[in-house]
Amino acid sequence: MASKTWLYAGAAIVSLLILIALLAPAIAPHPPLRQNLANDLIAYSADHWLGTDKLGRDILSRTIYGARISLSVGFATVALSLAIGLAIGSLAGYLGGWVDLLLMRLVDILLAFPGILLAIAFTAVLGPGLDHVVLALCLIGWTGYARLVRGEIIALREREFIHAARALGANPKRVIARHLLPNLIAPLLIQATFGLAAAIIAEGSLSFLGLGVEPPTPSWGSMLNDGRQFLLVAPHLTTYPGLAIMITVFALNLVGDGLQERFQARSR
Amino acid sequence: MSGCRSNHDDRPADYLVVGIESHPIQLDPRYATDANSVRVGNLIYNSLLRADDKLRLQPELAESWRMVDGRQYEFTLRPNVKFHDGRPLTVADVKYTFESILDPTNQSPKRGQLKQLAAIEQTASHQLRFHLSVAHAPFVEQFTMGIVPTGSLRGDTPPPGSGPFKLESIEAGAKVTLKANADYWENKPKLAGVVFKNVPDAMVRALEFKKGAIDFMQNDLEPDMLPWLRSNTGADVSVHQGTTYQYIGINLTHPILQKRQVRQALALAIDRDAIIKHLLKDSAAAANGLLSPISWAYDTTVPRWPHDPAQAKKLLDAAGYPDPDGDGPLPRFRLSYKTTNIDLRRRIAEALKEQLQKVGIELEIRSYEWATFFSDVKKGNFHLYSLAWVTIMDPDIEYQIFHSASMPPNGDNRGRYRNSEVDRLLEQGRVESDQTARKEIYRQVQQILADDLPCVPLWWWKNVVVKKPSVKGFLPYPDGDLISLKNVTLR
Repeated sequence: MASKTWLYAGAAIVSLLILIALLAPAIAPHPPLRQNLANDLIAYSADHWLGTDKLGRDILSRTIYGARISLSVGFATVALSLAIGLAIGSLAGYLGGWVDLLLMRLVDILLAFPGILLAIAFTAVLGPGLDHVVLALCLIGWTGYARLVRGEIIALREREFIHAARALGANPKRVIARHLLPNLIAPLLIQATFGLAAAIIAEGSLSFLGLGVEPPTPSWGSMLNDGRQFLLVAPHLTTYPGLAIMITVFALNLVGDGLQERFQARSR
Repeated sequence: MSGCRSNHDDRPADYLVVGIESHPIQLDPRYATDANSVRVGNLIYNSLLRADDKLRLQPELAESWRMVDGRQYEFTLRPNVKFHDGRPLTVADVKYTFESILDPTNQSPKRGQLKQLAAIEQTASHQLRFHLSVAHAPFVEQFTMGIVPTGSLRGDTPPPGSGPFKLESIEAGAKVTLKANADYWENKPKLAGVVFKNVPDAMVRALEFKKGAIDFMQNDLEPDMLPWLRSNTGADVSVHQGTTYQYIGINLTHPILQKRQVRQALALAIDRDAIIKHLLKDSAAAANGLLSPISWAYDTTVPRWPHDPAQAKKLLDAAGYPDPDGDGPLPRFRLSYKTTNIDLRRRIAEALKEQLQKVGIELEIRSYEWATFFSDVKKGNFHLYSLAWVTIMDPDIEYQIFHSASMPPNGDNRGRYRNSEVDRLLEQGRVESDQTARKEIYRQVQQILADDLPCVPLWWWKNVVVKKPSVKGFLPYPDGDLISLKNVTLR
């Protein structure tokens, strides 16, 4: 029961964040890019609830718009990684033999690199930009899905219902699509939820290093970076985007954990 | 926790610890190009002449000197000057220093500056004469070159100098320690030594200062940190006039930027005063050109571009770039603006973007790490960029920046500016030896450049000195030189 509550709480927070991201133009009190140099580093005012940054921009509005960047990078990364991972994992798992050997060694090679370091190198070469961040994160991101899919498929393909389908003359395409994939949805969903959280943190890290979105676009990571030099004089610059990342990742982890427990309970 | 405190212990008694933002790369004055190498090197090496705190050249190793004619300079050396290893400093060492720079096998980056030097002749035991191939008034600046002993090779260990401090140790990337030269010919420095501690992050430097691990810092601090330092560390913070000139470089081969009206509109659209007041907390002064009021050649009548967005819009309309939708989101045109990825530089870029947007110019900010940025700037691969010129002494620097013969790699005319009148004046300015006549020439150059705007003037940075109240006797130099550390006491 308790785990269910956590799952629903997490899902509610994530849904709220998605809603905030979608409705950003309607709910943000100020345009996120509007500067007012004379109004810099305000900690709180009736007009600026969360204060302003060094250029006098409203932090609340920038945090709201930042949700768009973080979530869209997260979803795009997960979708792309999932698509690649699913294709490669299914091929390796179903076909086995040298195809499996080759693809899984490729995965091993990629996993030998620290992911964030590879992403830093990649964006440093391509230059900053949202699309580059997504590509950089997918570079390694797909490997986890590929491994998961392959493992599940190897376990499933020896099950009786698969043998039955084959005996009835189903071709490999049909076996994968109609019998194997539906059984993969639950583990993939869990993996994707954790992947989303990881991608949001990675985007934050890259933007913090100046390799993410270009200024003045607000992203939580770049807001943290902007506020870093003012930690001693205006700590609110880093507090709110930091909290936003923390809450989002926490909520996604609640959802992931909740789903995992439900799935395991069912398969037991 | 012990790691946090260790810095207190590695400081020898009576040594001043100076926090710097980048480690000196090459202390040998013949090869030093980065600012910190030059500043630390100036404490180790003496030169024939040295600029004072008003940027006027004063004799140092020279007991006396004179310009014989436009092509000859004669120096009489001070007797009894010794290098840190005990060898006497002689005419031969001065001759060797300059000749080793001219030797192409040594690949000194300063070789080009000595292009006009034809020969050095010893005329008496303590006397020597420099012969130039052509009259070249700004050549006197070359006499501020640090002198090294005969036979000094380019190597990992910098050669000994004859200055107030001698090199004690270098910890690569971390710190450079200098020790007072007890036999210094002028008088022994009051400090036992100076440690230049490399702390790249401005905030960490401020925290180290608060902790007491650093006694002295100059520049490269976040302007908003200054009030904090004053009230939280009891620091003695002072701001002094400087010569470092920040500007927006313009690619004059770009079809839009070729038009003078567009460049003037850029100058009018920028609200320098607001940026200086709020973003820079008055650590700069609005500029109207490369030469600052400290320079003898500065023309006080050069107009300053005010902040006038309405006039900027009119000029852009007249130049043939009407705003397609008035105050709507569509711009008249788009330009890229390149800058380094240092926080303050990026923030300035964002403020400029907003100000130009108000007159209908869309700026696309691209920030890069230094090497990529600088290579693009040299290649002319930009629309707009922002950089600064440091240590401006002779107005002949305008030749290097604006003469049409100075396009990279022959000089620093990175915007590819061509103006035959400016060319003619700049050529005249370097062969004329009379300072009054030169002043008139550079007055005309400044007037033309202020109107033609091959680059948009932003501001001159001030020198910000942050020190413990116990540090006494420091005299700030407009170019940020630290030579007065030889007179500093630490109580």
